[in-house]
Amino acid sequence: MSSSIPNPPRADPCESVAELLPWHANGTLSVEDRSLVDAHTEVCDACRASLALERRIVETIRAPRGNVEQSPHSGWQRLAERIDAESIPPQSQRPDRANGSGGVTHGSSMTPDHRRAGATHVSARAADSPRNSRAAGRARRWNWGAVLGAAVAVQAAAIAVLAVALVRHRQIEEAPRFHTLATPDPTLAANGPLLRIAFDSVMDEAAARELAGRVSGRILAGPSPDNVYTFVLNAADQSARGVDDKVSWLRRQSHVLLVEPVALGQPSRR
Amino acid sequence: MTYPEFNPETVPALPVDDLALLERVVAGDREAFRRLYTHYHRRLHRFLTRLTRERPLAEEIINDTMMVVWQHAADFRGASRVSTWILGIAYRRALKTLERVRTRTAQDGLLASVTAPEGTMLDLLSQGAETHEWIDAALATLSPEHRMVIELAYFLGLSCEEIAEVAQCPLGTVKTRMFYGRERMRESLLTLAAPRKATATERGA
Repeated sequence: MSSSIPNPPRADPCESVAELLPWHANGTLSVEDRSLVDAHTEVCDACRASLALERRIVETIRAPRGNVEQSPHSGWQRLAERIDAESIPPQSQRPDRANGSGGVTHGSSMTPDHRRAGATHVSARAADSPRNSRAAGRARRWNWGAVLGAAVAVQAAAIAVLAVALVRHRQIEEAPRFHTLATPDPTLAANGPLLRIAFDSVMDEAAARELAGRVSGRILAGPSPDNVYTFVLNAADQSARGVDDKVSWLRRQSHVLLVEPVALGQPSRR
Repeated sequence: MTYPEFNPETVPALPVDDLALLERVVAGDREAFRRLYTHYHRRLHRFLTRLTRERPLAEEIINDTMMVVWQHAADFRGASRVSTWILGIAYRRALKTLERVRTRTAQDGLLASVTAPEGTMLDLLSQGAETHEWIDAALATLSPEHRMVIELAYFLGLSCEEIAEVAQCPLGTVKTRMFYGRERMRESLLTLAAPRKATATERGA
């Protein structure tokens, strides 16, 4: 394929320099070659114009287009499902490589399955150990009246905890799950750019608050049942580029599934 | 849970030890693989969307690429950077896709023996709102191999040596593809810029 393409001609200095221009424009040329190009373009109008054109093309190709950036979350979910569906382990964990024929050199030789199996094995061994058997014998010799009294006390405490949880759950259930025109919408009062951010289930409110602070913002609403928050950024010094940078930065943080700018006044889902 | 300070200067590249992540992937660590996926997704997505012009197709290539990474992480011997290895896999997947879906665009028909000084074309590119479209159209007239070299150099900023590693070909082949790709692209841009130049001249008359 490549052998059918003839070598580029190099009849004069301009053609030798022309070959280096793309790498000069993308900043990867060696110091020596860069000096060669710089010296030549100082005296050659045509090559100087060519270099300017190369730079212009590189700038245009690299310029961001629009504010829409694909979140990796949905793609990752599809890939994870594919791995699960096809039950594909990494090559190092396949039986044909486990006997050493695969020459795996990276990482530990103990796979997660091995570790899990080992942990289970250790637990079973601990439960059957003589020490645990001795503890069980001591328990059998305890005063049964005291044991029953303690059990009743524990049961009463558990019932109290469950009752409190039930009352709180009902309070949450009874809260309106809809918005009306009269429902106060905090986003209407916001005077800075708004971002809607979906986190994974690990993210708690304290961490969300910390993250909002990192981008000079605060939590305006949230979390929703799906752990979605609305952040408002500081109205000062929020150029379009600045907001884009913050959106891009937020999208790269751990536990962040989705970040999208929100139009001012759009009702937030709390 | 602690987050780093926001700094616009650091937005394009947060430090990720991708070799350490890859070693954990070899051991079957799904969380490490998710982080590696997230780290490379943005770069690959922008690159592949440019090439294919179709987001679903770009996503398909990314997942095919990362599936290879998941399955063959143990085959990585450290002869190159992890990024070069992953880009190489994506390169071969994208090349196959481009060869499958490639259609000669209407811009081919516009290529004629139009000549104009480069300074003039540069002026037109500098002021033309259609610059993106012109460059995309010019790139679309290239063969997949020529286009890939230009995209890897101009968009991803890879050196000639890095492209040779990614494409698994000699340095001379990269230089040759770049030379003829640029020639072809220049011809296309001259053709596409010509009607605008003519209109500007008519307005000036």
